[in-house]
Amino acid sequence: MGMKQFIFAAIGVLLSGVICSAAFAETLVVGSISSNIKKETGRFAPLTAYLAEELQDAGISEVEIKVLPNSETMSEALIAGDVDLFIDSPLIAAQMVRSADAVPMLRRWKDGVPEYHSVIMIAADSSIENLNDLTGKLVAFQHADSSSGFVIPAAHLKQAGLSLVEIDSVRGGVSKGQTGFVFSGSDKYSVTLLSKGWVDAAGTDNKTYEEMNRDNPGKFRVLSRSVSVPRHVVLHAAHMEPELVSKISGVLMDAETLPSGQKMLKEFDNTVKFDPFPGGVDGTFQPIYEILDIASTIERP
Amino acid sequence: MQIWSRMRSGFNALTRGFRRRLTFIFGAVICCFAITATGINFLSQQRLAEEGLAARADQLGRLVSEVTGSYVYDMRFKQLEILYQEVQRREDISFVHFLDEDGTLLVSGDISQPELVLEPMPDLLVDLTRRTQKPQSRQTQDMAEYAYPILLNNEYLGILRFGIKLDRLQASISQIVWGNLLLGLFFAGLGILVSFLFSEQLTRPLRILVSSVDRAAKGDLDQKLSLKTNDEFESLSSSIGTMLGSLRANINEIHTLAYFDTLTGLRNRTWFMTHLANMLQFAEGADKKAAVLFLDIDNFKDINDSKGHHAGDQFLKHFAGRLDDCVKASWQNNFNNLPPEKFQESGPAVCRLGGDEFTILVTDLVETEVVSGFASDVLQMLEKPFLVEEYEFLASCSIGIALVPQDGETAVDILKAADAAMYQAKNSGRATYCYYDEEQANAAIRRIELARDLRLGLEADEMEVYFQPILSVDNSEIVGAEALARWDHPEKGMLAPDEFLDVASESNLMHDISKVVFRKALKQAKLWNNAGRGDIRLCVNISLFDLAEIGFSVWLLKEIKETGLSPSLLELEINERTAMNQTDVVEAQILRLKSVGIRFAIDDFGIGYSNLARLKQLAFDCLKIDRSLVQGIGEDEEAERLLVSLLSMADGLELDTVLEGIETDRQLNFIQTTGANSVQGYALAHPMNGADFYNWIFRRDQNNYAGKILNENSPSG
Repeated sequence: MGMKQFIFAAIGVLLSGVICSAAFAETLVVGSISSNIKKETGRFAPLTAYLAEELQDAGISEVEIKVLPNSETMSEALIAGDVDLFIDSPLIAAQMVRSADAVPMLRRWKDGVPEYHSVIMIAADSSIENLNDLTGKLVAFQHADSSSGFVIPAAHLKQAGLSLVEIDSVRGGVSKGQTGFVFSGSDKYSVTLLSKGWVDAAGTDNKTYEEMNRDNPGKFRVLSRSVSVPRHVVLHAAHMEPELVSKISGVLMDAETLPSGQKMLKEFDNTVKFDPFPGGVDGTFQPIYEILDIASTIERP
Repeated sequence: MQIWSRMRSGFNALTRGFRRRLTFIFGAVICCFAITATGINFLSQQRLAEEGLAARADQLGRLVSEVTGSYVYDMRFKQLEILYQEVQRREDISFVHFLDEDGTLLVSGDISQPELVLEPMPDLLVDLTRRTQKPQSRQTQDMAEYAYPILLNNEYLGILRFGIKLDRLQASISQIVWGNLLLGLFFAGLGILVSFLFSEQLTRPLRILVSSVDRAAKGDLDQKLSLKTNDEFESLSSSIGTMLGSLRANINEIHTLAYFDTLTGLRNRTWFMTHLANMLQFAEGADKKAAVLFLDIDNFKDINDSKGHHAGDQFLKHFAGRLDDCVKASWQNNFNNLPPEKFQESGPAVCRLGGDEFTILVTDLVETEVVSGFASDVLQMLEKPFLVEEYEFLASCSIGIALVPQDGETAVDILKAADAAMYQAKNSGRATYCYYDEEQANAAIRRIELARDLRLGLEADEMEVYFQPILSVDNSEIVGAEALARWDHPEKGMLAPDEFLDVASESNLMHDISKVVFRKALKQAKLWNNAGRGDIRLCVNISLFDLAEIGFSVWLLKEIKETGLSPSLLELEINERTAMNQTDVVEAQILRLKSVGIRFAIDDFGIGYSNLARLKQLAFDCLKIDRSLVQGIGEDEEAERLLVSLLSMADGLELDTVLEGIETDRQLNFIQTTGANSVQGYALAHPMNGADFYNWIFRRDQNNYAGKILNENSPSG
């Protein structure tokens, strides 16, 4: 190789480096499920801004939020590579892992809560002693889409061997050997129904129960508690580069140590921090998969 | 109290005057109506607003409670929440609660409510609704609360409880208040305006009348007052018009009485003085010239005395008329050709001051020199005889002229100056004019002071009577004594008649002096009589004034009777002119006095113009030959012959004679050869007072000195 040829080769290497670096500068898309795009975009704005700032070195020039209406579309987006990161409750996250091969990354301490569980509560003076006593009884849940208010407690009852069937009205009767349930619309209404004797038990999350018990001491008691699940979960799409995933995980976990990170966490739903799953990904998600599987067997009209 | 007092003062000020009071009353009534109507309107609108709110609340309550029935029945909280959100969307909804049959809160949007209340809340309205199962309501200061039973097929399931904020109602009521307030203010203002205009219109005739009366009070009595209101004001206007007419007539009459002489129709003294004073005031500082002509009719008293006061008054009227005509004619024709309408304003003004005194006020003089020609014209025009009743009078007047500004600063000064000048004219021979000068003024002042002193002297009994003996030519015996008035002036000493009789005549004091002289003379004569000299005749001068006085003869006879003196010892001396121009009154009194034996003598005979035929007719007893006819005796044969002729004529008429003014022996010697009866004069005896005369008589008797009278000397020397 002559001198002339060497110079041309050097120039070609330099140009290809520039071109390659330009090709790596891409947009990171954070996904969320909501029917209110504007509100959700605002909610995620502190996070996306923070990531955009912190991930410049990783070739991320921009961080966007993509709000989709339901889990199916989100799953498709994850599969298609339109969404890179997804943050939601553990049951939704588990669905995305299953349907879109998304990968759990971190646990999010939303509202300062690392994890929660559901509670089957009954009146303090109720004659019901165990879950089997709920056969032939009526249970109030919050909403069919609520993890803590329906899916988890219903799965918990189902795991206990109860046969759940949805009843249209509190005035409707429960078939023999079955346990009827109604959706009250909110945990508050479920407790009201329980308090007024319209239902025999109510399924809710542990935080709501504690608040109810605090406000009405001695009026209710816990009949049974489900397994605990993370409060919120961060997933990444399967197509993402491990280096970038690692970089993102590092940025999110380090946020609690940086002033700008702390500010972002505070503004992002009072999040305390992001951390790895204490029981590992599998240990954490296996019960959730089971809940999902059981819940899918519950009969609904 | 102070505030109340101030309020009262303010109210009184506000309602001062009928128009204001009327405005205030009408305004107050209209304002009351406006306030009442506004109040009623406000209450109605407020009630409508409240009823509207109640109706809306009832409609809402019934509708929602009906819809809610099935939701509560099935405890469908979600539907209740949707319904709640629908209701809550209304702006005036404060809260909405869906309660179950016990009153426990099922759904509530009230953030003040605890998150979850599982026990029935204490609520009287809820309790009442639950018991009655009928809608209930109550109202607090800022909210209307309602409770409606939730029924399904008449089964009581729960309660709809909601509150409606009253701020909108209150805002609405506030708008109503302000609207009504503005409306009330508008109507009150309109009412005040209308009441003002109404009062203005109503009191307009009254104000016209008040204005008219005010103008009348300020002297405008010639105004035309005509109100056509067809009511009492028109009647009042007519009455005031009539009253003004009467007032105008009365004032004109008063003006005429005040400023015009009733006898002559000329302006009077008041007008003259006022006008002259005004003229002087306006002339002050300006170069204005004027003149005052003071006219006094010469010998007017003779007319009064001889023809009576009625004839005198008639004469004055004729004189005034001619004087006025003369002034106009002379001034217009010769000095200032003023048109007739201007003459009244700026021509000479003729005034009668009183008696026979007139003035002519000549203003706007360019040159004072023309006044002389003007005065001459006036004198000339007055020379023609005056025919008054059946008498013909020749009259003249004396004119004194004072000029403005040099002869005085005040009206009184100017008039005094003109008066003084008039006296000077009189002293200059009458029927002439004189300008005022200071010496004349002083002389006039002296005469005025003398007149005043004379009046005071009569009151103080300063008038005395002296007696001058009248001796018989044949035997030098005292046959009579002439009583002569003497005035013992406290400062000027003893004054003879010629020093004060003119003043007495001008001051109308002649009669008073005559009476004093008669009384004192009669009293003295009585003394002689009582002392045995009843042969001495008392001779007293009597003037035409005395004889013209109708009651004089009665008075004199009464005085004579009181003294007890024989009337035949009294001889009254009248001057030749009086004797020749007797009036009926004078003649009657002479005859009356003669009838009781009183003798009459013509005094100062020989210097007048006696008609011999007339003299013969007159029943006089004696002629007193004037001293001027005696003075030439011994020096002038012609005078002696004249005297002899007179004495011969008297003898022919069988009249006694007395020669006056005998002052020398030569005169006495000659008289002894003429056949004269008696003599009188300084050569025989000077006048002496009563006591001296008495002594003189009886000293002559005691000394039996009845011989040669030529060697006698008078007691006074």
